[in-house]
Amino acid sequence: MSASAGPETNHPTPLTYFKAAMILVIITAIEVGIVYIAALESIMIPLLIVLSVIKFAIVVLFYMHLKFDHSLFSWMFFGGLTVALFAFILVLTLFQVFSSPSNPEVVTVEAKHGEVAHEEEISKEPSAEEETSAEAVSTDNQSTGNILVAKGCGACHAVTDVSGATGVLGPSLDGIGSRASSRQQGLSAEEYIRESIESPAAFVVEGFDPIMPELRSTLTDSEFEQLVSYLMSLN
Amino acid sequence: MEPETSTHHTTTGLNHRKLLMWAFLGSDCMFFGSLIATYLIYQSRSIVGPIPADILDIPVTSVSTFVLLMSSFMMVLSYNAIGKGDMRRFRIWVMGTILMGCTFLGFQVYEFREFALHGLTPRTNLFGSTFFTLTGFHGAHVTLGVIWLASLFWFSYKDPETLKKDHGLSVDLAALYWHFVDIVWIVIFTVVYLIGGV
Repeated sequence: MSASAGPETNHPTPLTYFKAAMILVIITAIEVGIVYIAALESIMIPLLIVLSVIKFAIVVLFYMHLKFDHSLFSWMFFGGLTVALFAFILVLTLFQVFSSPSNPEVVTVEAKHGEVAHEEEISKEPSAEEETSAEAVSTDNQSTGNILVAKGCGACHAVTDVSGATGVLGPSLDGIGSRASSRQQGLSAEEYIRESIESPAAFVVEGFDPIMPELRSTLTDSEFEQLVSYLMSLN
Repeated sequence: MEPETSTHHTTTGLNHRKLLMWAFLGSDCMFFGSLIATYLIYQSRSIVGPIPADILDIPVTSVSTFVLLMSSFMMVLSYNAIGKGDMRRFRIWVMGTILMGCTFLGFQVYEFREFALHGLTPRTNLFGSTFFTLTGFHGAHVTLGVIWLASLFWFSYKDPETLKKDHGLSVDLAALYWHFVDIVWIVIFTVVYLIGGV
């Protein structure tokens, strides 16, 4: 049996290709329009996914000729695509993407080069639920370091005894309570820790990039005091 | 001179080069699937901005999407022309595809530069890291496609008869790759820009 690339004689004509191109352009225009129509906000995502799938199918079936070629080519492609989709949905489900709110902890800070720095990283103003849990945690379990994790510091800083604090972008906070007094001349350990949170650019530990944002304003006074108190206890 | 494939007998009766291309495209689906999944997981977990809604420019990206869609149209016309042995039209359409591909890459360079000026780099936050990885790899695919098509354009002058073999199989393979780059962008445009950018 001689090998062939496929039944090219069945392939569409340029007119069909042109029609397909026009449909693709029209669907793209509709997609962009949907984004700006407030009334469609509730069904925007499923609508965009359906339109995207239609565009995908047009290109694969007509431009890539799968509609006209040997079915083994389709098995090769859609086999890979099916595995990819399965893994895609599985991973997103595992990471709770479908249920988690968008950007729950983002602080809209312009992260310009060299703008921000320092040792302790804090995340955004907490929700009422987070605030309640943070207060409960900090009062009774300061030594557990839960506040450090609750506030997102652990994303960049590590503390050996705290499971959620494993970051490496900033210096380790192990022993910061005793080490802090020797960081800057004229500043006590507590003053240094307060300054690190309030003005992270004031002093950057050698060997680390100045990437810590100023996030004191996103903490309530009580949260700030709890955090300072906890960090002071890390000896 | 007989066509190349007529001297090769395969158990499936299909050309192995084309079968391999489809297997590669199937595996590339997994590659981009993992990149898009990673983006979706981490783009909303940045602890500092900018976030997608702050910075993604839907109108500009819509234009670059239109350019890439039209490049696919030109690509399929060039394949149609080589199938008919019309080398002049093939050269016109493949050059059009190359120019469209370069235009798309120009848009991407412009976008990356704008983002950097607004404080978003791969090091800024999780959104930046995953966004640049995803769109960067797509851009690398487009770049490779442009180089591939340019080599076909050059080959059309050097050895046009070889290019016409098997209904233009060499062009067919490049076209499949190019259309794949297009469908990946269709997904990225919807997921990253239209859904994530508002």
